[in-house]
Amino acid sequence: MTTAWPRPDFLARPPRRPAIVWWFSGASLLAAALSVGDWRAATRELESQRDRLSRVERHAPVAASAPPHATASVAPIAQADAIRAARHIVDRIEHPWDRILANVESETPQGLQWLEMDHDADAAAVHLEGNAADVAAVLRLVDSLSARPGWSQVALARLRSSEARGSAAASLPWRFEVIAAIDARAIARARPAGEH
Amino acid sequence: MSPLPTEPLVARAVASGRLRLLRQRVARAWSGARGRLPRHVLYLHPHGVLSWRLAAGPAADARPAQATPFASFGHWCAAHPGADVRVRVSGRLLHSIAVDAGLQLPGADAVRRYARQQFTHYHGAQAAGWPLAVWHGRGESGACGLHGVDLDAMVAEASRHDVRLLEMTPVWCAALAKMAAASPDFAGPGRNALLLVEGAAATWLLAEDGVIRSVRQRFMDAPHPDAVASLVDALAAQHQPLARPASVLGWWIEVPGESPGDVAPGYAGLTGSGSLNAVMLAEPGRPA
Repeated sequence: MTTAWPRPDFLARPPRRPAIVWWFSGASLLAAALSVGDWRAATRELESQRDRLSRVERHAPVAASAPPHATASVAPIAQADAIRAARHIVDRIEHPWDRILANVESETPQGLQWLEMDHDADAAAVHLEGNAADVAAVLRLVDSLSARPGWSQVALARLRSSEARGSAAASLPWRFEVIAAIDARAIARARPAGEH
Repeated sequence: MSPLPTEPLVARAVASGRLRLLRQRVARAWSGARGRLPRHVLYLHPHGVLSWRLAAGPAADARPAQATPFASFGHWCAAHPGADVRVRVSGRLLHSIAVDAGLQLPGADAVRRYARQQFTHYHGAQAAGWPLAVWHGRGESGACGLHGVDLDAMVAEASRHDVRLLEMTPVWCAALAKMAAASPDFAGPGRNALLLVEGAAATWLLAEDGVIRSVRQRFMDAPHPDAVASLVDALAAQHQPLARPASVLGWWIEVPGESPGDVAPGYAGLTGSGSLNAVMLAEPGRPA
């Protein structure tokens, strides 16, 4: 027999939802709201990307119609590299070696003996080393090189008594080092007439 | 003179009270887990309560449960702290109505409102505060109003003794379950009627195809078998055709020459199917 007879209960209370149900509902709603926000942001992002894509396709119809293959994207980069390398080589070839040497030579006062010149076409620095009869000659060199167009930050980096022995040491007792920053283009542009 | 250290005393008292409650809860949980929970069924009538202890498992059949009378629910609670109890309320303490299916009330709340309205109409303003119990579903609905019991006081008393009220239903629910268990045809097709007699008070229950259609309350001049027989005849005549003769369950009938007791089976042309003891130990909603 399965008949369920009525069973009125005076203690039956209307079913109250426990507090955790409300907390859970609240959390669920919050999660749903966040998801919707996320979805809308994603949709906007997708739209903007589509716009960008269509713009690119409009501006480059040939590129878009061509079948994509690996060299299509690699070629421009390789080309740019080659151009840059060629320009670099040309720059090196066109470097005003003669002018720089001529500048140094023309500004060399009496009583100076050059030992070393260090310069790289890629770098803007010049390093000069030599022996001098007196300090004044060295300072004159620094001043006159500074006055030259294209030469800047000419400075006496080192000055000490020469370690050399013998007559050379007697006549040129000072060892000096001069450093300078040069602008190769400015030196190249300077009129050769300025030289002595 | 330094003030008395009342605060620590109060705190200790509160803590010990809580501790006691906690201990009771743990003990109950432990007993429940071992299946040793003392369960009781209580018959609440105008002059006190009758209590049965429900034994679990086969022990229930080995020794028939005996009823123990108590003067009041409060006395019973004091004697059974920490117990679980199902309360069956006598028909003398409540009014029941079955709602006409033609009204088609939409839900239990509507049934509740309708019953409240009916009770206040027939019993006056006092009925506005009666605790209501409703049933609704399967095309049947109805309500009971509890007029003879202060439910809030009962609940307070129970909680004071840590008694757990599992349910509080009209006794006729248990009678229906007992009846249907004893005679499965009662829930079958056609009209079937049951008269539940509690002394001079009687509850007439009419089932149609296993659905309760009518719950009527009648009072007799005396709890006498002849009065019961004439009441059954009168009510049966009003509700013809019945599929089979009306059944009678009951107790506290004064049979001449005997002490007041249960309605004897087959007495005076009535078909009795049980006694107070049998009805109280029937499990409503879980037919045997």
